[in-house]
Amino acid sequence: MIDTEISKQFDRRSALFLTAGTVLTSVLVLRMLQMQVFNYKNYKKQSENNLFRIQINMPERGKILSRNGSPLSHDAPVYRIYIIPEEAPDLEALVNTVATDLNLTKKRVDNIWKKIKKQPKFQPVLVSENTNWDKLAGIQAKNLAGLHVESGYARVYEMGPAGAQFFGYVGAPERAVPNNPFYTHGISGMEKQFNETLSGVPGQTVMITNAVGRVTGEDKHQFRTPIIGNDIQTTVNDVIQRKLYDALTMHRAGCGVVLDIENGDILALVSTPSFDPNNFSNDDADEYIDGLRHDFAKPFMNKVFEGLYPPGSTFKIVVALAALESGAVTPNETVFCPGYWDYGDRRYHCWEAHGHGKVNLIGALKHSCDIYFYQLALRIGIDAIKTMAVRLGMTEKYITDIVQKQMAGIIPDRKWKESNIGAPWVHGDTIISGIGQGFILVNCMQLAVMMARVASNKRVIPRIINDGTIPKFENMGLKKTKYVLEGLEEVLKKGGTASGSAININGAKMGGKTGTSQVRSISKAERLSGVLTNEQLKWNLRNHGLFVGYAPTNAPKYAVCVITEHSGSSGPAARTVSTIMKELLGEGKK
Amino acid sequence: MIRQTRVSNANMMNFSEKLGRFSLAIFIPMCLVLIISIVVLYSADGGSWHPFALSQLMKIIAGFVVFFVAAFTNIKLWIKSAYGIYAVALLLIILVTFVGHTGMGAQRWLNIGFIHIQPSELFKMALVLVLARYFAWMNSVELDKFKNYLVPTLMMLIPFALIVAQPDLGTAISIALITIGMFYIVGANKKWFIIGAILAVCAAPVVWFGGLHQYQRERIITFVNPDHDARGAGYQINQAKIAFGSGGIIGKGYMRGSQSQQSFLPEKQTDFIFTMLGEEFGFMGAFLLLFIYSVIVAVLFWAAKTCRNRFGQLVCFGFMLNFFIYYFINISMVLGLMPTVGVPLPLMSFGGSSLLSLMFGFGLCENAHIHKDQQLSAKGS
Repeated sequence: MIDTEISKQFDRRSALFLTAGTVLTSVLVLRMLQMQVFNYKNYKKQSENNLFRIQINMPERGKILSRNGSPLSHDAPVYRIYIIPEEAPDLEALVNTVATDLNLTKKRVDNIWKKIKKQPKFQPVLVSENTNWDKLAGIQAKNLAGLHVESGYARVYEMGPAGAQFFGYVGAPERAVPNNPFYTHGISGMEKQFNETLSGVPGQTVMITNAVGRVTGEDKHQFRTPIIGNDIQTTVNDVIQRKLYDALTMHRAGCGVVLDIENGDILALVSTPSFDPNNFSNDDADEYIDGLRHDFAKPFMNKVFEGLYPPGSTFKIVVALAALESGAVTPNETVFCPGYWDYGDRRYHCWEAHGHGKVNLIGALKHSCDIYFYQLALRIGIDAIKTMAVRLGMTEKYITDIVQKQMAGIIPDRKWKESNIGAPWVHGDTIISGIGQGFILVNCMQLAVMMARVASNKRVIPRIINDGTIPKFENMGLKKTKYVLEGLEEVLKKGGTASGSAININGAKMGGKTGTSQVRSISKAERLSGVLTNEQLKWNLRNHGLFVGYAPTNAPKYAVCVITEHSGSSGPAARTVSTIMKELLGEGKK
Repeated sequence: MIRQTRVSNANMMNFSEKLGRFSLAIFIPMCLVLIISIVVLYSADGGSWHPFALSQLMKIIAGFVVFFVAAFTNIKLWIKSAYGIYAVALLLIILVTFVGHTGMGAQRWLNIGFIHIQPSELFKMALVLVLARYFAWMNSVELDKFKNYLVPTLMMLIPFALIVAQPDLGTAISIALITIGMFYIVGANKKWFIIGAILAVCAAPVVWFGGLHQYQRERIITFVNPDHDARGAGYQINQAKIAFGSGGIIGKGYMRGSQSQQSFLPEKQTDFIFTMLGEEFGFMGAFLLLFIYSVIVAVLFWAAKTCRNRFGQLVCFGFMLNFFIYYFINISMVLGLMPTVGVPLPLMSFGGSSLLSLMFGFGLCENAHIHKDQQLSAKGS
C-alpha cells in the first residue's frame, strides 16, 4: 500500500490542482456566459451579416411617353454576359472566343483581364452589358463553360439627342450601391426629376453565402418581387420633337420650343448641340463624354430654359402692344425713318441703313423698323414696357417642378439698374429697350409663351405632363392684339423680314417676328470703316438669330420660338419655325 | 519505510470479479460525451452520416475494443510494457518528424496503409503511463532527489523538441504541462518549479525568434490583438467567436447553426467542434458538455485518490491531468482566451488517434480502479 507520507503529500498537493481546476473551469463558464448571454446580440448581428448576400433585382423602369403613347425613353431587355473564371477549363481561350464573337474592343478585353486577376476566381467578371439576342444566341450555342448570361434592362432613348438635356438619362450612382452592381437611377432631366415614379420598387434575392463569399443557396423567404415603375405621360409630340432637332442641327447651336396655345402643351423642345445618351454605355463612352464636356457650345445645357438671349426685334411685339394698350399710339400713326435717329448726343441707327421712310405700327413690325420702336419706347417709357412684358410672362419660370435649373432673365427698370448697375436710368436705356437690346435678357420658353399669349389673348401656361385635364387659361383682356397680329402676318408677306419663310397649308398661314440680337455692340470706328459684315466676324461674336411665330393666323393653335446662336441673321431661325409649322399644319403628314 | 515494490503478488482476479469492480462512474460520462460527439458530427455533415459521423462511429467502436482490453487485462501487463509503449510512441514521433504527412502547415500524420495516425496524440497517453511507471516505486527520499527527475525530464524534452519542430504547439504545451503536473503531484521540491519558471521566462525570446514558425508567431500576435489581421490569421478565431456567441442561451437549433452549416467555421468537425456545439445548442449545450467533462475529471480524481497502489493512482491522476489540459486548451482556444494552437476536444473531435489514445487512457483508469486494492511490484510479477 502507499506509505502514509506519500499519501498525505498526494492529498496536500492535489488540493492545488483542484483549486486550479475549479478556477480555470469557472473562467471558461464566465467566458461562455459573456459571449452567449451578454454579448449575444452583437455576435448574432455579425453572424447575420456573414450569412446573407442581398442581390437587388431592378424592376423594369417606367417609360417616358409621348403624347400619343409611344415611348421616348424606355427599358429594353439586355443580356449581360459574364465569366466566372474558376469554372472555365481554359480561361484564355474563353476570353478570346467571347472577345471575337462579341467584337469587344482591345480596351475592354484588357479591362476584363485586369478584373480576372484582381478578383477571387469565383466572382463574376462582366464581359458585355448590352448584348443583343443574335450575338447572344450565337455565343450561347457554343455552350462554353464558365460563361454566364443574366437578363436585365438597359435604358433606350428613342429621341436620341433630341431633347436629351430635358428628358435626361440614367446611370450608375457616384457611389456604388452595395449588393447591386447593375443599379442605375436618373442622373439628369426628367429621368432624375421623376426617378421615384419611374424606378418602381426593386426586389431582392437573398443568397446564402459561406465563409469565402461563395453562394451556396437562396433564402426563399426573403425573396421580394420587383415592382415595375410607373410611366410618365408627357405632352411631347415625338415627330415634331425629331423634326425640330433635325432642323436645328443644320446650325452650330441653338434651341427651340413648340407650344400648343390651346392647352399649353409643350409639343417639342430642343437644345443643340446635344448628346446621345444611348452612346453612354459604349466602350468609348469616356472619350465621347470628354468631347462633349470640352465643346464650348455647351451640349449639356438645356438652352430652352437656361440660355439667356437679348430678344432683339422679337421684343418689338411687347413694345407695340404696350403702346397700343396704353393708347399712346394708334395703328395708323406714322414715323419717318431715314435710317438713323439723333436723340440727345447720340445717334441711333436703324438696321436698314437707308431707312424705311414713313412707317406706321404695322409697317414697323413688318420691316422691323428700329427708328419707329426707339421713338415708341421713349414715348411710353420703360415702366409701361416692363408691365406688358410681365403680363406676357417674360419674367416667369415655367414647369419649375420639372426643370429646376432655369434662368429667368432680365426685364429691367429704374430700380433694377440702380441696384444692379449702380447708375441711374437714362433715356438711352429706354430707347434701346424698344428694340429688345440693352439689359433685356429672356429665355426661349419665355419668348414662346409671350407669342402664345399675344396670339390667343389668353394667359397661356406651358405644361409637359399630360394629366388628362384641359387647362382653362384666363383671358388677358388685351384690346389691341389684332393690330400687332396684323403686323406679324405682314412679316411673312412680300417685303416682310421673313417673307421667305411664309407658309400656306390649305390656307393656313403663319405670323411671326424676326429678331437678331447683338452679342456685342458694333463700335463707331467699325461703323465708320464700312461696317464689318457678320460673315467677317468670328462665329461666337456673330449675332443670334431669333424667330417667334404662331399659326394658323385665323385661329392660332401653335406658338414656336427658335433661336439660332450666332447665325448672324434671323433667316435660319425663321426657316426652322417654318419647317415645324408646315409639319404641324399637316403638310408633313401627306 | 516498506518498499511497496516488494509487497506480495497480487491475487489474480477472475473476469466476474473484475466486472464487479468495473466503475460505471468512469464509463457512463465517457459514453455520454461520445454520444454528443456523434450528434454534433452528424450536424457537421449537414444532416448526414458522411463524411464524419459514421466514420467516427466506427472509430468509437474500435475505441471500445481498446477500452475494454485496457480495462480488463491484468494491470501488470501495463506495468511491464510501459517503457516499451513509450519507446514505440517516441519512435513514431521521430518517424513523423522525418517522413510525416504535412497537414495544416504541420507534420503531424503518419500514413500506415490507409490509416493516418497522429503520433503526438498517442504520445500523451504513453507519457502518462511511463511517468507513472517511473515514479510509482520511489519512496519520499528518492522523490526528493533532483537527479531522479533528470530522466523523466529528458523523456519529455526529446519528444517536446520534435513536436515543437513539427510544429504542433498545442501538443508540446500539453506534454510539458502533464510532466510538470506529474512532477508536482509525486512530490518534487517546490523550489525547482520556481527556478524552472525563471528559466522558461529567459528562454521565451529564444523560442520566439528561433523556435516558432512564422504562422505560429502570427497566431500569437493575432491572439493578443485580434484585429491585427481579421481576414488572415485572425479570421478563424473571429468566425469561431461569432459562431459561438450567436448561439445564445438555447442555441440556433440542431443543424441550424448558420455559421457552421455555411462553412464560415473552419475545422468545425475537429478543433472547433465546441464552437459548433455552442452555436447550435447555445450556452445550455456547451455548459452541459463542460459539466460532463468536469464530472469526468472529478471521477478520475476520485479514482486516483481511492487507488491503494501508487501506480494506479499516478495513472489515474496523470490521465486526469491530460484530459483536463486537453479540453481546457481546446475550449479556451475556440473561445478566444488562448491562441489557436491545434488541440482537439477530447472524445468530441473527429479523428481516430486522439479518440483511441483517450479511450485507451479511460481503459487504463478503469483497469487501475479494478485493481485498486492490488499490491503491485515494479517488475509486474
